[in-house]
Amino acid sequence: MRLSKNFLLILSIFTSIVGLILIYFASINIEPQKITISDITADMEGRRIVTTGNLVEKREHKDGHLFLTVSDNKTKIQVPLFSDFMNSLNQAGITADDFQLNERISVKGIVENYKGRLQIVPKSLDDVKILGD
Amino acid sequence: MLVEIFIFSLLGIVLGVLLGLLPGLHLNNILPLFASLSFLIPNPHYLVVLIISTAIAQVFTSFIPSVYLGAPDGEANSLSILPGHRLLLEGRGYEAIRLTVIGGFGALVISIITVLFLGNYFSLLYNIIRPYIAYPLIVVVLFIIFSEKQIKKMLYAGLIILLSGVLGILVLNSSLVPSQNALFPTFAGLFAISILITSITEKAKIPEQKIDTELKTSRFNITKAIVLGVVAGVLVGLLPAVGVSQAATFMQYIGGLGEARTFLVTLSGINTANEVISLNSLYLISNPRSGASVAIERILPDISFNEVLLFLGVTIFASGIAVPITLFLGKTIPKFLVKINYTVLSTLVIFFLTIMISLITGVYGLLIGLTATGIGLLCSYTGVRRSNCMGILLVPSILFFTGLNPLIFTLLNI
Repeated sequence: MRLSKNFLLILSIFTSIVGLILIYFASINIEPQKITISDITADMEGRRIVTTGNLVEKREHKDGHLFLTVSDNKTKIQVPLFSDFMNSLNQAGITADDFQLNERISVKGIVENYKGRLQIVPKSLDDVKILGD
Repeated sequence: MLVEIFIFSLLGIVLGVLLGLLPGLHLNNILPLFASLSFLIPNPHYLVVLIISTAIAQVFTSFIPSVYLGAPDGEANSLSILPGHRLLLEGRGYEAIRLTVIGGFGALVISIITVLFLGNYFSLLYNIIRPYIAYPLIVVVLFIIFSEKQIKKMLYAGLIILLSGVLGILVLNSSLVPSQNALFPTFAGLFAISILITSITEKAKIPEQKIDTELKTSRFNITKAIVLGVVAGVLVGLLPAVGVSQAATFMQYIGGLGEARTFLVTLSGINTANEVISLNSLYLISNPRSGASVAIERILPDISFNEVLLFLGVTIFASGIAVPITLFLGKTIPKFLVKINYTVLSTLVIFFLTIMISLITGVYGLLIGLTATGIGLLCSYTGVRRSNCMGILLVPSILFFTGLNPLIFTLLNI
């Protein structure tokens, strides 16, 4: 039996769109794993996680990036906020000055390896939250 | 040390040949395995040698499944047949393999010379184009839409770029599948399973293949196609997200070469030049440009010119072995191919890919693979080019380089 081309076309459009909808709902409903900073290891690279810690260092780059260092008192990890991310944060009313040292912050993002050092890279503006003292 | 380099090169070539022969699989899929076994390897250079030789051998042999597997029915779908399949359906599959080997090897030699003598200028070129990368990417998207020529097909092309782009945004930025494996189910669905399903539904049959050394195109056209391949390969090596097929189509327009044979030479040339440039991207532009170069960066954070010479030597050695192996397999495989049931073979490959997707990426990977297959099938049933599916990387890259990523992710709540 040879299936008609129109039927296959409709089937492929249906599969694509329904699949994308399912992937979208799965993406927004699956919460990333909550983990302490000292438990983040190299084998988690590429995974999206959420963690909290104290802001122990911040460094502003001339190109507009802001590099935060967050610690859970045992281990430190870098959280780079790149210039486009900072621009969007600025538009939402949050500036580099709002990140105060020793404040607790929550970071959601993908674990990446930059030149041998692990870092958490947030993607969406809601991924970085200042929790306060 | 020389003996060890030789042994690791040979091991890489064996792995690269196997990876190349398995459709849908890529070196990136086994890089985590290399990383986990690295403690067994005494010198980090040997691991880099293993990665480079695997990458180079795979570049050559990966054309074997793309020519011999997934061919559609020649009459039913003539406009969207891939160039390699077109020759296969003419009984010239081996010629297609020979053309990719010639294009690949020619481009490899020229790109090695380019790296050696013009390597210092790559950083300059990269720094000049980097702030403007979004613009050529947008031009590429417009080019692939308008190159469809008919209004209806342009609309379909736009739809496919949009769907694959949304899939790319979701897959690359969600928690569903670890990001280093996210492209495996998407590429397997878009570029392997969908092609195989088309072949099965059209009940394709492979005609008797002619095994001879004749090339039905002029030496001048081959040379021109190789040079265009190197130029495009260098640009693809520096620009993220631009696919090899789009670059080949673009170069065919520029070079006035409009037929399957020169397309294959250019395609293979771009593929190989891109591999050479991206493997050496840490030295050339201080930035990794592929999964393999990210792995190399971790193994050897600072690369000297002497190490580049070693890598280029391994590249030449690996290609020197991979070329005759590819030609041998290209000659041998058709003899079996005409005897076996092509539909059963395609079904088995789909089964294998599905198992691999579920093992590597789990149930969400299967959902991503199924969706990607649906989008890939749209190309087959609308008769537009499969390179439209490169929206999967193009759209996320355009968003990244225009600085729109945080805004889009916030809007989508991902």
